[in-house]
Amino acid sequence: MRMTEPQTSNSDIVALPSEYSISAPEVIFQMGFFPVTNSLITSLLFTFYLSIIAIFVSNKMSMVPGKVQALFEIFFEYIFNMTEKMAAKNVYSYFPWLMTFVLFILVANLSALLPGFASIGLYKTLEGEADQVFIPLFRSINSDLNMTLALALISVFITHFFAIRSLGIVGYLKKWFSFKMFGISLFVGLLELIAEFTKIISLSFRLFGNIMAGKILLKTAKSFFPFIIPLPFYFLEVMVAFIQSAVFMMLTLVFMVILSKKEED
Amino acid sequence: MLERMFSDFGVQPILLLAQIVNFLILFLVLRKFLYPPIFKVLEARKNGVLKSLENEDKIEQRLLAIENEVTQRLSVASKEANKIIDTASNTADEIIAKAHQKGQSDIELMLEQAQYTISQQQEDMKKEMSTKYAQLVIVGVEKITNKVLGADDHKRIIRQQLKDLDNNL
Repeated sequence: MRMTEPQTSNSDIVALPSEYSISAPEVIFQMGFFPVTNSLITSLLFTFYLSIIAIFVSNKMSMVPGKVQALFEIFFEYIFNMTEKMAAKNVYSYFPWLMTFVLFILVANLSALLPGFASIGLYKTLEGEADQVFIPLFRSINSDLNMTLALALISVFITHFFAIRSLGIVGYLKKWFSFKMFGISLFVGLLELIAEFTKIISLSFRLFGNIMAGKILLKTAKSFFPFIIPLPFYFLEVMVAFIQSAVFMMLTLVFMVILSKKEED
Repeated sequence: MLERMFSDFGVQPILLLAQIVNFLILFLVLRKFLYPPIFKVLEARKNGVLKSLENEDKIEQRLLAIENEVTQRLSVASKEANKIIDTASNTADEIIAKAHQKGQSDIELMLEQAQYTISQQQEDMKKEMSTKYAQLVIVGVEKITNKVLGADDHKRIIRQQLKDLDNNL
């Protein structure tokens, strides 16, 4: 492994062998049958440092907040109040999930913009290739569909879990299978059931697409001129980082609230 | 098609599972260590604010009670002050009246004394004038008659002249 300059030309992107598509995470090493990818390393790293920060913050919380604590509390309270407004009594169940989504996605998106993120890596010789290929050690985790799909699956799973918990299994099933209006409701229910699967695709591909597009945009901008020109796009990506984390959280919250709402007769 | 798409994007069930587990670990750590202390601090602060608001209400009520008490006491004090002023005013009137009366009686007394003194002086002057007049009359008569009058003549002439003088005055 060694430090390298960021890849600055379009040819670098297209020169990757077919085995290494830009939209797929790169395998750093193999642990038996388990492929350790750069996005997995990055997400493990984020989990580790977010956990350390959480433990550190929990010991440092005081009634009179410092600047950092005050800023975090404002952020925390904003999301909590928004959740409370929509979820009412379920706020304490929903909030930890939503806050974790926001923190994880936001930290991941913003960290991906830090210098060195795509430029620290190793050169690898791939099978059937003569030249060595640069493989970055870290990768923006939301530009890996494995991660966004995992987040979407968790989001949809907990949405249904909370719906069952608040409606009961019968109330929950009534949402999908009803014989009112000569079976039209049953058909509508089936359509809605299909829509539940589209939620997974919509949540995962929205986040993945936006972050992946940003990554490509920055790479393209850097290929023209590595200084100044990428700067506006960095600001744009900072905005995208906040917006995408908020969108993911908001959609999850809305899905949770809608699905946990009792079906009116 | 789905398989092709997943293959293109590098989706592998094992990696998907690893990412799910990874996120769940993070969730459990944050739920255990981050959220409870923040909730605790925010709850404590919220309670503090509520308590402050309650205290503020209590202070306002106490302030209102004190204001009422002050108003009542001022009203009582005002009544008492008016009473005292009335009493003082009456006393002052009485004193003035007494002083006035005393002054009047003093004046009358002084006036009486002055009148008495004047009448005394008048009497004295009258006597003196009578004496002088009698002497003048005797001297005049002696010069007219060229004879020295005796004591009885003196007495008679003096009595006669004093009688005339009294009638004239």
